[in-house]
Amino acid sequence: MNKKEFLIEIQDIMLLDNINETTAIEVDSMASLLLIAFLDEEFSTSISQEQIKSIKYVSDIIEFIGDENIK
Amino acid sequence: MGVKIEKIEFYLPSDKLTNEDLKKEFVDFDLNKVENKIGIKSRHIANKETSLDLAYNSSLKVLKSTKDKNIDFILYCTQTPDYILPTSACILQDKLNLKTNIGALDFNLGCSGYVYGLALCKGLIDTGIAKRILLVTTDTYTKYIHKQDKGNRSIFGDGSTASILSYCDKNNIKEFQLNTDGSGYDKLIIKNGGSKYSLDENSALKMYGDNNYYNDNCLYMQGPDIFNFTIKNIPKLINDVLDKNKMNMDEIDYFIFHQANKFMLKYLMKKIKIPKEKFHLNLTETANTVSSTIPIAIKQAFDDNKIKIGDNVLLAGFGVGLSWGGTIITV
Repeated sequence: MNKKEFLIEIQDIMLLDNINETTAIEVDSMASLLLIAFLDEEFSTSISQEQIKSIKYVSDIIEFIGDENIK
Repeated sequence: MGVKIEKIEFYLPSDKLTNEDLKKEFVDFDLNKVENKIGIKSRHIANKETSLDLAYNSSLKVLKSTKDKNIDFILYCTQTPDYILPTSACILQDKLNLKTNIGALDFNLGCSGYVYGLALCKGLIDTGIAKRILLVTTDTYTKYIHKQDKGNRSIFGDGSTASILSYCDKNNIKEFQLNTDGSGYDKLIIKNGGSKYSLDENSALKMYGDNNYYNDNCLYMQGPDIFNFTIKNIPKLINDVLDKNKMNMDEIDYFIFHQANKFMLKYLMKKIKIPKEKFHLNLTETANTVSSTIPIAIKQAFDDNKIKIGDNVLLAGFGVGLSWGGTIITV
């Protein structure tokens, strides 16, 4: 998955338009489940409720996955 | 020597809580999200009835439908018993007017409870301790959900099921895989009211998720962590159950998982690669009834001709504990 595709996925999960790495996000309960499913499916990784709570910007998700894992 | 499920009946309390009712209480309640993503339109609420009342009604139904009160063991699964003691199963024996030379016990499990109950039945019948067992699941979680906790109020409903398990020549309940991880005990918990922490009238109100409120006298669920636990462990559970029974996915005619919520179930279906037509998804009117979802689903699937006599059905229960288990039944 490249960065553009990644941002489109995050955009859909967060119900936002035109996001970039610096976009501030608030992960509600439904978005939490969607994000967990997305990270499990695409990156085979799990994110805890505590880790989700600490997400403030799109860049926090990228940092969690590891920038090197998004082409 | 084997065990079969002779009959299943369920009972739901008459009072209902619809999404429209919740919308009146919570201005930010998202009707579409709960209906489309969570898959629930309404849930049954035991306002006046207790878990034992529900259990009595489901048991009466199943005993009437089989016209045979010859029961020699009661297994009663609940996490919301009428009393800390005595054992609810004992009271049920008396209420149902069953003979006294029978065994009766309660066991405390949630969403894995029915699968564990089947395992206990198989053990009791295979060893000759019992021949015909009344297996009851019953819960009134809604009595323990804080009025301001719209998340859990939208997910859970109350209900009870009663199954009769009996000896048969064929092995209709196959091998089990049972699992436990108590490190996640606090992911779904009612903290106060047991012997460790007394009920506290002044327990502080806490917020979680999307403006949901609860206190430690009430049920608390860390939804995202429960979801993580499920998607990590249930695909492996399915493989383990198939391996134990030396069967493959194609030999399973239908899959019935604990009906937790639509989103979780659809994700599991996709991840495990189960064809949609073989996967049970129906909690629209009953919501998550904890240990009762699987037996309700078996009855629904049978009544709707989704399963028929001779079909192999894989059952998987998972949740509070954390506890999860699976088996294969032949209908």
